[in-house]
Amino acid sequence: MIQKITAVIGCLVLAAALPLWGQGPIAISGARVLTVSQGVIENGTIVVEGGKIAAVGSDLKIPAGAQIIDGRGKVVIPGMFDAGNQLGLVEIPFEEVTDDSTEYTDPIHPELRVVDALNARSRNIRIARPAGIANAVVTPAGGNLISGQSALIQLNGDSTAEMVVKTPLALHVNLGEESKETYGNSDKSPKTRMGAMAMLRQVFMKAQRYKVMLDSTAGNRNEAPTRDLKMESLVSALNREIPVVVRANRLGDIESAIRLADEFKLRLILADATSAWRIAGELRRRDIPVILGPLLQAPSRIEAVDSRLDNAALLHKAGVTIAIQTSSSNGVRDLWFAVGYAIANGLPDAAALQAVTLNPARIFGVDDRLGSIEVGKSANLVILDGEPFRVKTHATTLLIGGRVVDLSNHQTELYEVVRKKYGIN
Amino acid sequence: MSTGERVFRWLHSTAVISISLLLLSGSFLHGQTATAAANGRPIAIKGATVLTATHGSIENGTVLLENGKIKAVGAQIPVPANAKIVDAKGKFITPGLVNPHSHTGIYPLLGLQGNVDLSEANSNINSNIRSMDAVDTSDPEIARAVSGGVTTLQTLPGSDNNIGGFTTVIKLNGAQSIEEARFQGAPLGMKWAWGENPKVQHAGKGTHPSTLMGEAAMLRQRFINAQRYAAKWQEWEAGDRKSVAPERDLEMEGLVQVLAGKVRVHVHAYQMNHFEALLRLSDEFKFPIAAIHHALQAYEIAPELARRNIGVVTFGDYWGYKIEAWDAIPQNAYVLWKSGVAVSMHTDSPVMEDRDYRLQASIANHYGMPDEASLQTVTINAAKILGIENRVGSIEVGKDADLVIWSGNPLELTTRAERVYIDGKLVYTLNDGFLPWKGSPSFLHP
Repeated sequence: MIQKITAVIGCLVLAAALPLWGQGPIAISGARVLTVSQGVIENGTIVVEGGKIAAVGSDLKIPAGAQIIDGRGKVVIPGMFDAGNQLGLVEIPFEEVTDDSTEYTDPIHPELRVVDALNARSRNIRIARPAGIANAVVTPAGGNLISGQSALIQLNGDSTAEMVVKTPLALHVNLGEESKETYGNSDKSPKTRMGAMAMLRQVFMKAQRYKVMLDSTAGNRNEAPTRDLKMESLVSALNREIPVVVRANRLGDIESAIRLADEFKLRLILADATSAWRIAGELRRRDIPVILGPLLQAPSRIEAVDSRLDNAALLHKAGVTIAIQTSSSNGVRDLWFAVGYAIANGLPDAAALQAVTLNPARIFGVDDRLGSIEVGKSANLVILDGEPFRVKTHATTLLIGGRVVDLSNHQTELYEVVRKKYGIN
Repeated sequence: MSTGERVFRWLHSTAVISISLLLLSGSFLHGQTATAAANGRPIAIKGATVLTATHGSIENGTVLLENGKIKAVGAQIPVPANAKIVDAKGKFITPGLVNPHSHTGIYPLLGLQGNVDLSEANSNINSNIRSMDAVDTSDPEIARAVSGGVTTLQTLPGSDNNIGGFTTVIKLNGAQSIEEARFQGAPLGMKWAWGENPKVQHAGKGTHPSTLMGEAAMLRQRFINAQRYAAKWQEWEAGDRKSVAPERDLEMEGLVQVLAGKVRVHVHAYQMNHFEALLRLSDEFKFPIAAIHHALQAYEIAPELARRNIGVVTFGDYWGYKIEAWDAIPQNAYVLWKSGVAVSMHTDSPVMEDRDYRLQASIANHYGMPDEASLQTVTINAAKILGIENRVGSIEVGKDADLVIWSGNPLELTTRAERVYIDGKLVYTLNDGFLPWKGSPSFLHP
């Protein structure tokens, strides 16, 4: 089994490396560089080589033969993350046949993997890129208590293998109203929050036993338990190999998430979390990160009545690590506006930038290669024509893995036609 | 009394009664808001950048409010000695925002089943229903909308049906009585919908219409019936009126109003083929269309809409959520504006929150629309589309004193509304929230 996994990973790495062969160095010169991890460099230069950041500083020698991108008057930030969405899982939200985001067949679906449904050719991916989004945590949608395993993708690649950065990334658990609606209304469990928690505890207990059987028969193939994909997924959460993202809004649901994580020693990440501000101190004390969002949506359930515009600001002030998600497929590029709104409501600029770059990279354990402008990290960079999250600022260039990616999409192509038709320049 | 008058009486029956009572009592203005403003001192808001929406901007300007109206505006205007001075140095002032497409009040925030009165989805032609009969004036979204600078909105029945019903324009003054919240004097509006929603709704039930062909056929047949209905009444009225009057039919009366050109028709439609079907109908039955709403592909037909004086109500950028939204471009509003179409934003709340309406103008601005044109999409153009531009939508002398003081440029993402005035009365501050409901125990208030 282990050999098989290594072989698969090997293929992924090879495939991802292929397009880089033969590409020379790139230098972005004279820009204001917001590194996120090491402050701001005025008049800075970034050298990109072999898909990585080879150098960054104010007084750098540009390697001979490098392709130079003039960064004067520009601002460079790390490629942004959407910390939770359904890119490549849902093409047209109202067309059910294009929706592979969740399986409403059983409330406990830990074995489902986003990677098996990802559509690298989704037009929504190209629509999201002009907003400077380089990475996305693609998660199964809600509706199940355990909805499956997410993947971290980069918004570039001709195939799923080229896009996927890390999978499985996390296990996804959903508390609150949505699962009750999905199953309770058709007289199946869970019908109540009590039922939901009992089912979750029960299945994790089952996984604990499966883990004991696995551990005690390690190296002895004949006695190992029959392979069970659901159990294997839960065991990796119990082993803390992957974190568990729990969507919870009402304060009581957040507390349930914490109880569940305590009981089974899970690496907890909270998501949605509209009432997290009520318990900010406790989240800080326990070092539980929070993925907020969608921020630009009216609450549609009673569990979200505590939502407030300054949730992000209050959590940041309390010292909680926050990231931001759109929970969308077709509206991912609105992340830009959502972050601007969080700033309007008290989140400092630098904290806002960190919430869509380094924080999500840290939360998902990829900050060794993503999330800031540092030597050795993957060259995911956004060149902006102004300060980030301002209404008149646009991404002029996006680099993912050291490659300048195409920012055209269905909309830009349509607009080209319209411009010609009406003579708009 | 003609059929038209009768319908008007029916639509305005409660309003007519309440206005006459007030006239008898000697005070036309009523309700907490108007009374307080009328009795209060004039207010002079000084030192801000005033974005008038129609006459450019005034640096370090003063806006003087008196008796619920804008009394004066300019860089150097005399301020009465008794005026209350509001220092707005470094701030921006805009007209109160006007949102021409929302479901606030009939789809109250959270959408709890018992509260939802969005759509009479069982019949397709609902020219007999009025959102006024359902508006929940305690909808928390009203307070939240004001916190985002919205002061007037039109709430429309949903889009499950080709004709959804009559709309209601309200001032977000926090009044509990719909008569006090209603925008007095606003023209009649009727919600229509074309395309996916009606056909999907009715096809799902196995009822007519389930195609675009069916939608057009049904509307044409009903209008032909309405023409006949009107003729029958005219004949009876022209006669000696001794015979029993023809039967009244509310659905027909609504359509007769449309045929008479007395209703502002607001049509939800997305695609080129929808627009063309609607223009064919409008030509065949000779009624005007006030605006096409959502209209994500309207850029394709911009000059034609301008020629026909049809407005467009659209999103800053909302893409790809269904097939008929597949050809949306974020420059839609910009292209329409360039072609001379009155283009407004909307929220379609709860699709987007009324509170965040301003952001729609910011998004249009982000995608290339000039500043003043962007501001117009949430103010004067929306007012024009509703036919209330003589009252709201710009900072001009004589207009209603509906104003927003912003922390910075209102188009900037990082800006917030700090104070909101409606009819000259302060109704919101960032610190104290929505003042008309202050102290009332409710959830979800800003």
